[in-house]
Amino acid sequence: MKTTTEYLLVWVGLMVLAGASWALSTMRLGEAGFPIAIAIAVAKAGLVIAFYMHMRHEHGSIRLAFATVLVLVALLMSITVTDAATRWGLAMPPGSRSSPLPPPIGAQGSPSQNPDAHPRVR
Amino acid sequence: MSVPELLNPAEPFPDEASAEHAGHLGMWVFLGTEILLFSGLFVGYAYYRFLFPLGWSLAIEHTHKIIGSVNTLVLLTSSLTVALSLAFAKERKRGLTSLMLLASMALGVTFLVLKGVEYQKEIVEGALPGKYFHADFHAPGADLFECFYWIATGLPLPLELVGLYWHLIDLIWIFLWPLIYLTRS
Repeated sequence: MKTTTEYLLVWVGLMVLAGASWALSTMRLGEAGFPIAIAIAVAKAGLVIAFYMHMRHEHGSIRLAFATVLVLVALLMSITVTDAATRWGLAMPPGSRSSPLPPPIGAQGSPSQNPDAHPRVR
Repeated sequence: MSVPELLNPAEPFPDEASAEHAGHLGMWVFLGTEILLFSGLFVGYAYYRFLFPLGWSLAIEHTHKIIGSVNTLVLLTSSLTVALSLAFAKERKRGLTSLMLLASMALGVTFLVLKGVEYQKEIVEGALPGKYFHADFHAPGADLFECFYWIATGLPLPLELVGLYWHLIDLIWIFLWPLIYLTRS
C-alpha cells in the first residue's frame, strides 16, 4: 500500500477512536468508563507510534529501548498508586478518600457552610 | 569487519544503514526520557484522582469539553500532515511537502488560539490552582485538579513550537484528553 494512503487510513482510525472516546464520555458509566477510556487512548497512541512515528519499520534495539520506557512507566504508576491505596488513613490528607478526617475548615475547594469563607475575585 | 572500512578514523559507522539506525535509536532514547518526564505528571494525577474522586469529578465536569475535543481533532490531524509531509519529501514532491508543512503550522496555531480562549474562560471562572481557586464548585481536591489542569495542558505549549516533538505532543494529548475533559466518574 502507498505510504500516503496508509497514513490517511490511520487518520480515519484515529478519528473513529476519538468518536468512541466522546461517545463513552456521554454515557456516564462512572468509574467503569475510566479503564475503557484509557484503553481507547492506548489504542490511539499505538497507531501514532506504529505508523506516524515509523516504529513499524524499526527493529531490535529501538523497540527494546521503547519497551524499557513502558516498563519503567508501568512500575512508577503501579507502585505509587498501590502506596495510596494501602496507606493508613491518618497518613493521608484530611478530606481525601482514605482519611477518616474531614477537610480543614476554610480549606480551598472544600465544601463550606459559610459563603463568606470564599470571597470571589471578579 | 574488513580493514579498509576502518581506515578513516573520523567516520564511526561502517555504512549508511547503521548510521541511520544509530540516529533513530538516539532519538527514541531521547523521546523515552521525555515520556518519563511527563509520566511524573500522569502518576501525580492518578494519585490525587484516587484520593479525591469527588473533587476530580466536579472539576472535570467544569472543563470546556468542546474546545478540548476540537483541539484533540486538530492535534491528531496535524500529526497526519506532519507524517504526510515527510512521506512527500521522500518522493521529492516539493509542492505537496510545503503544503503539508504549512497545514501543520496552521493547525498548530489553531491549537494555540483555542487554548488561549479556553484559558481565558478558566481564569474568568476562577478555575485556578491551589489558593487562587474561587470557582463555583467545591469539593476536596478540586483545586488540586486545577493544578494538574494548568501544568499538564500548559507544559506541551512551548514544546509544540518545536517541530521535533510534534508526534510526542500528540501522544501526550491523546492521554490528557480523556483524563482532563472526559472521564467524569
